[in-house]
Amino acid sequence: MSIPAVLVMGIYCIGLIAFSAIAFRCLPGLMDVVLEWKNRPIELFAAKLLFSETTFRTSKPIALIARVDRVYLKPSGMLVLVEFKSRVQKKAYFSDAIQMSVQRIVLAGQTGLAVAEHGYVLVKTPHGGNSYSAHRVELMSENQVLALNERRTAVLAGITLPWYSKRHPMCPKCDYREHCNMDG
Amino acid sequence: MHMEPRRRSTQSPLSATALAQFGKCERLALYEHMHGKSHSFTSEGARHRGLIDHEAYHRQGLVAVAASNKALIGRWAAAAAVFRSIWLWCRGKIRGAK
Repeated sequence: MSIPAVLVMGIYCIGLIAFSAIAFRCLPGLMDVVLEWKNRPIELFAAKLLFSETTFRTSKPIALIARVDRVYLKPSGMLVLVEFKSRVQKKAYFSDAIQMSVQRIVLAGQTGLAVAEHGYVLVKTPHGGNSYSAHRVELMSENQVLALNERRTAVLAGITLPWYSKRHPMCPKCDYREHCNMDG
Repeated sequence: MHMEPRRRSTQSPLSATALAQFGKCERLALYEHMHGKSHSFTSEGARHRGLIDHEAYHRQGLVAVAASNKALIGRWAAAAAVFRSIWLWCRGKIRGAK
């Protein structure tokens, strides 16, 4: 390679770096786009972000409402749900699966599109900065969600006794722990 | 502990959050159904932090949805994200080697 070619390449590289630095400084939205790409689960790298913070409703099989954080459209035509959580521990809980299962039913009911039987929970920890950890969650079937709703209705009506939390570490922080202890 | 009176009617559609909370702790769901949502200092602080994080996440999503229609910006951002990840990975390797 000749010396002028090396010089041109060098100038081009310096220009590109300078342009990138200026773009990051001057365009605040650009960093958001980069972060959105960076925190995507690998499966969704080729997917298109279709909805962000959108509320959906459906009346079948029962009246449901859900606000989804993000919905991605994969090239195969399948929708994938992503739920954002801000918590101390980098993990997804059973309650996340329930929430996303309802979202799946509502999204499928309103849009008529196929929704994947799994979703992702993006967890942001207090010391994690702008990096989120993605956790794949298998969603419940429609029948399982309906059964859970029936149990909830029975518990709230006083017909069935409620269970204690399976996740005991949350009990010390609960505002109702005194009531709960008194009830036995 | 400040309590809000129960406002939810039986006719309103079931929300995903309500069912998720029931799955988390059935007893807590029942107490909140009877006495209303609690607003203690600790839960309010956590909720506030969560809202701030959620707002930032939402802003990223809105910008990304807008940028997805502009192929050049989208590709540039994707390339920048990849380069940044590689750079961070290399930096971690170098620091780990020291």
